[in-house]
Amino acid sequence: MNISDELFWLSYKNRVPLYTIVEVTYRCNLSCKHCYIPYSYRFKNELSKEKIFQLIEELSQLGGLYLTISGGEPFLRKDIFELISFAKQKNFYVVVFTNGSLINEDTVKKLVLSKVDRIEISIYGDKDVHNKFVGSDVFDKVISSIKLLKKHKIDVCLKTVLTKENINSYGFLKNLARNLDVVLKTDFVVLVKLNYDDSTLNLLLQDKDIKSLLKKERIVVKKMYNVGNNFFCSAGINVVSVSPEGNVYPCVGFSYLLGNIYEENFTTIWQKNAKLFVKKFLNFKKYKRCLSCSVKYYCRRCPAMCFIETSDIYGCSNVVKKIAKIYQKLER
Amino acid sequence: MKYKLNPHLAYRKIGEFLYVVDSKTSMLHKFNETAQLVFECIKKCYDVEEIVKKIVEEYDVDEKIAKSDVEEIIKEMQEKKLIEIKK
Repeated sequence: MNISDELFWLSYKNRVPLYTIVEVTYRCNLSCKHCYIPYSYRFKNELSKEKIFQLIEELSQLGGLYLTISGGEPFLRKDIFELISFAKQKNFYVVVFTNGSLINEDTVKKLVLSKVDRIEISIYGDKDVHNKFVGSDVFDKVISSIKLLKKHKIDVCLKTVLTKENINSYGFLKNLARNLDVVLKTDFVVLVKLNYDDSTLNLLLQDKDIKSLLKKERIVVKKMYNVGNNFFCSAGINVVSVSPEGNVYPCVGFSYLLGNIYEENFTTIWQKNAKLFVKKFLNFKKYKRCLSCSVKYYCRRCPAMCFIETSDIYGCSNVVKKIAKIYQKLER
Repeated sequence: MKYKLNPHLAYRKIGEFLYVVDSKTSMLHKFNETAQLVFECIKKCYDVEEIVKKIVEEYDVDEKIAKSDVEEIIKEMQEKKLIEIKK
């Protein structure tokens, strides 16, 4: 077993919150078509700097190592650099998810000083496709941000979600990443919005496009998943998420409330409520539907998607099942 | 001689080991108890002699053995680019 696997299993076995995603704001300057955060959430209260510092401190005591700062758009917070610097002082590996439209020379200088480990920027296609997808004319700005970050030797990674609206941009994005000398992470899973509005699912790729994408990426499809009838993931076990209101969830988009850090400290929530959740979550006998499912060996079951689509942690996600069926067909 | 930590490290003690990530290489490293003590001493800007003294105090070992262990750990950390000589 390599050290990464060893650390993963050690944290899994001992319920150490190794990976945390903190959504520091719901505010955003863009309106991406697939976003799972409803527009109305932008007006909610958000975590104070002091509360985030306390959370980071507690996470470091509990063994947390990887911290992702997400949003909304994190760079809309004026104290974002203080948050990153504090997490770095506590020896976390810090990643920031951003749309890349608010980064300039001054921002990059502050990022260098903050010692951030990686910036992940969302991009959806060429200028026309990207601007249409995010609802604003920011493509050129995003490209200049990537170049600026690279110039200052900050690790940058591009991310995209391929949907019906931008599937033809896949080749463009691969070339763009190659030309900019950055990694491109690709996904095609779209989440239902946090208020259960499932209109985002209309963006989900058609079966033929998913098949073609998997073939292009030369993803070998075999019975690699759930070989041990394992329908769980790391959510709430060594992964945790905190929302801008202070709600603690097992993972991003997994709206099963474990507690709120304004009512109890994170350590108590993690050691008490999250522990109870895990006991419930790992109750193998409750997954009767999965156990008898024809595509169980191909299913990358995402409890967050299952829960948000069915309000049942043991439920079945139509989106996940659709993808599992495609995997099954591809193997044949 | 003094050393300093690579500024791109993230680390945490989990169980009995210290896990160290170098964000520039994405490599993950694992330190045992003695290596952790050396790592902590380097963080506090101890020179090699002071680190050896600390090991002798902590583990009640012969100074020669402690020196050899410290030099070996430092060499390995240097090879992995986790530390460098402080100028």
